[in-house]
Amino acid sequence: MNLPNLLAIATPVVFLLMIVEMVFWRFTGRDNFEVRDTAVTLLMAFVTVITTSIFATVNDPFNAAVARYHLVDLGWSWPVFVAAFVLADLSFYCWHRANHRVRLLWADHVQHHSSQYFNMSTALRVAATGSFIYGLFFYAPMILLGFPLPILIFVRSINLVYQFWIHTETIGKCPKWFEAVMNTPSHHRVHHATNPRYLDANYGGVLIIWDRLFGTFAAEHPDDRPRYGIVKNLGTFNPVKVILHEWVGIAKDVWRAKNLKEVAGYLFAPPGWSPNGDHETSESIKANWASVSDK
Amino acid sequence: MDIKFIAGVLLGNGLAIGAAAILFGRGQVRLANSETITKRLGQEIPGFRAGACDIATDGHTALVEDVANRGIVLVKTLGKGHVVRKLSRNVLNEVTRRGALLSLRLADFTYARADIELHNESLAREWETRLRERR
Repeated sequence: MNLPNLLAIATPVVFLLMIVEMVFWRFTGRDNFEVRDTAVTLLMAFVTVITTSIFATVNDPFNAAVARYHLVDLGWSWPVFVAAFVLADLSFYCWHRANHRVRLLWADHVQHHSSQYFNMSTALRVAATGSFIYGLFFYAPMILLGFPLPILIFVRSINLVYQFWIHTETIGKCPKWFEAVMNTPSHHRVHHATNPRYLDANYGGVLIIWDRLFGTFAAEHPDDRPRYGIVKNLGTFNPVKVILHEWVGIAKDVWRAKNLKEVAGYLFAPPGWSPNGDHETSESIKANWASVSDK
Repeated sequence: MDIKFIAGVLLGNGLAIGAAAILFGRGQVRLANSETITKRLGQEIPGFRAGACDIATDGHTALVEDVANRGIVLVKTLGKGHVVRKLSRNVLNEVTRRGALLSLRLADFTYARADIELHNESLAREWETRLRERR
């Protein structure tokens, strides 16, 4: 069975919606874009398209090799398709959460969060190496379980394409039943926000139920409008610096580390970790905010 | 590698960047006044309590005292956004002054240098002293 190439089908729609959103904000008076920011984002998107094609030359043979060792042959059926979709979304949740909690992974993922603007173009601001690492993490276990690779590629594409439309301020809240189950623009605004109450929340891809289940859900508060970006916003639009800034930070920290325990902390602990705890982490920011709010 | 797809992405990128340039352009907001800055810092820094606050003559950078945390905060505009740096000992490498112009060198990969032209020399000297005390 041949499944359609969703990414190729969605690409023109993505660009069209981005431009429609720009026109909408321009004529409703909201200054929600900056050309240098958009240019950096789209340059990163283009580089990712190229690198993904290159990485496929490694990922594809690797996946084919893994497939030889699958535990069971699940075959093609609707229940298998649905199970693959749900498991793929759970896998994305785990991966995404790890990206925020392990600095080595954050060094890549921070690029997606580094814009102070939140619009549909932000969805395309992705790290060039992300597909390679996630490809290995995501496909291999699912292939070993026995899911056919074409189904996995298809459900992964659904997941990716779905996440495009939730990067917007154009849509307020969706119907309650939808907000309860699905990831929505409101939930994802929270995810991209740096307001202390919103930090480290809403990691879901298509379904928000994982966040509700694992205690990482935060609702958008009507009195606390999201401020986007990262805790320490970047002071430049230079794309090289945007891409490399966290890697440089890690290299400097590791260079200064006094022992292997500190090296491990700088690489694998959450972003902001330091041996003496004098740097800010999302926990310390939230704790400070909570203590001030309580007064 | 699907050349047609890559060409399509390149074309889409060009169109979107063109649309952003025409519709929004290169925005550069100015720091309106001390109240706006301190209000924003109050939202960003838990427990922040504003002390002295001075905006540079170009309206794009400001130095603000955080009385509660006994620190100094540097604010600069970037496009339509803001960049905030707490000038702790780890961040502030060097402070120099020439007349009313303060130059700060920061240990910061994306914001390594800040030149802040204040409204007069005595104001710049005051900030220089405050910054040196915290180094």
